[in-house]
Amino acid sequence: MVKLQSSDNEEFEVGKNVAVQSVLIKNLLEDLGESEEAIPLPNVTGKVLKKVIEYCEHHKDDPPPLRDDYDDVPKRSDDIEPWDEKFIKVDQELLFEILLASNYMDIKPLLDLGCKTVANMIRGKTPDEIRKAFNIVDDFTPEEKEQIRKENEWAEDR
Amino acid sequence: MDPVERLPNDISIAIFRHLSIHELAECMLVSRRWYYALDGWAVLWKNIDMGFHHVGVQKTNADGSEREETTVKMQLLQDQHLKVLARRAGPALARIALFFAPLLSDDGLQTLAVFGCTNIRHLEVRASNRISNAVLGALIPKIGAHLEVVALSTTDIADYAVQSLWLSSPRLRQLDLSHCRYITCDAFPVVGAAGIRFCHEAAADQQRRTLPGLQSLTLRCCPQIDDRSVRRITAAFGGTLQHIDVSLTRTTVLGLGALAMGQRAKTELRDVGMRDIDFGMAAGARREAGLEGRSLLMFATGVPQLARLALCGENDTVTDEFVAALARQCAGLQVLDIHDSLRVGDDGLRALAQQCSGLRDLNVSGCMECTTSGVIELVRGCVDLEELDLSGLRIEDAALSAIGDHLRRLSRLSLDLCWRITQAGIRAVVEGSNGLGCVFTLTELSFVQCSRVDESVVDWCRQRLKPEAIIRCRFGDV
Repeated sequence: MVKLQSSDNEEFEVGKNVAVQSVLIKNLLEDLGESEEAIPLPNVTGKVLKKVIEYCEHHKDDPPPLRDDYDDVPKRSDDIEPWDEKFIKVDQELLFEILLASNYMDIKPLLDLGCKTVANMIRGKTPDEIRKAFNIVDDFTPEEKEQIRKENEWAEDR
Repeated sequence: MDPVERLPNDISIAIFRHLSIHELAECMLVSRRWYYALDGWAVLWKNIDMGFHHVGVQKTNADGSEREETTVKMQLLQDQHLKVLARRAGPALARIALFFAPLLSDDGLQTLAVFGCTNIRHLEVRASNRISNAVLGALIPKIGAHLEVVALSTTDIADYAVQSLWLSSPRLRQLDLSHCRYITCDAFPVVGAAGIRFCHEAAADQQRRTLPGLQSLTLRCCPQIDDRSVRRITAAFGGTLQHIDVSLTRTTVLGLGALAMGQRAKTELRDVGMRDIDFGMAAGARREAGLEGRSLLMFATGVPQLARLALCGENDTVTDEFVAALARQCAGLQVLDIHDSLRVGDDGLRALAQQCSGLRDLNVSGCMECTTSGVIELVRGCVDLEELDLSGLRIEDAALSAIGDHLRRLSRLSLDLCWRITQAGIRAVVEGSNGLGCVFTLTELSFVQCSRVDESVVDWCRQRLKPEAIIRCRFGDV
């Protein structure tokens, strides 16, 4: 078993095969050897860490992710499994926290899942709808917009 | 909450990499922050992919209700557009796929060198007559060091640009030059004892050069490509070439023979896509038939790895003897298209049945010598056939019964113009003698203009075949 400690001092005890899905923890364990001491994760709150562990528990038997270096074609994002889809249905704040935590803890499949989810929130929307979805203020002048439209003329008439 | 503001750049980039450049163009209109971020992240623009695409359009029916139709939209990239995209991507640009680029000219392509796009792996610019041989030929040494796949079909480029590729793109694997009317055999290097040279160079200039390991070459519809070109290609790239398409060129069977001869020692030729070879012999200049025959037989012995061969067109050079030799040498043959070969008959089919049990796709339509007994032997030997085209043959219902009884994977069957078959034969294909036949596997069944087939069999088939199966039929006078 491995102990993990969140930034708000919450402790979690998880199986080693669950913990090592985080490359950060895997490397730590390899370097330091196993110990009774809890591993501190000062960038991750207890609420987020609980979620991350839930993901790792469910995926503990998955084969290690393949490296995809050859990526000339846009990546797919319509291949999310049902369990993952339900898991990632959280409010935006938590979604971003999970992205940050998976990036910090180096859990590639979870990072991918989060990125796909955000990409799907953007896809197929008009700029107005995107602004609404993420609560962004439109700070363009009409002239600037016209300028950008002209620059991206090739994308018109879709 | 704004993800671009909230998340570090690495994660934002990973998110936007799931979007196409068209979706990115929409995103650029969200806010200034988004615009400058997306404009600056070169890696997002590494893949420029444009051409035809399908879009849904709302239309109103006569009764006022709405229906959605898909129409094809074309995107025509212009020079100033490529300039914007090349500036954003810079050295990150890896793939340009312009399926239809009639508005793109030399000026646009030259911006690739201006913005240092030197890592392009895939360059596809089709259907532009504004790209000149001289400019492209001079551009390739600047941007072509990493090219792997190049497609310049239906352009007016000529030999110089192609020579540039051989010299500047050591990783080139695939080249498509179909419909390039100015390409001649001088586009290909001459490999001699002393080295490799091009036609315009004096023999003294021969240098030690290495050529790319070309695997696939398409010269379909290049009107100046002839047997000499094929000989040069074989000498230069025979060791690595796996696919060559010289259909509808002036290549003759002699070129085909040369191809096989060059291959014999080093062969890996799996996929010879020779369709509708234009034998290119002007009237009166017909070569001795025996010579052609020998050339073909030589071809058959030179390509033991061959899996796919299309050698069709109305001709009398492909004979039973050739098919038998091919079957003997190429036991791994999977796809064979020899339609309209007037001298292929039951002996050829028998040879295929005996030697090529792995055959999946066979087209012998119009091979008028093939009869019922030949087809029966064929299907007894090649039980894995998935596609079979027997159009125009004088076969009878007995052949169809054999198909129903022996072929367990048959998915497409064409019997157009088989005027001797009747509805009993069609039923035998579907049901076999034991009630199973090809009923579960058939996805396409065609019996157009079969005058002895009764129309009622169409409904009978529809009731039994899978709902998505296509049945093609038309009755009436031929």
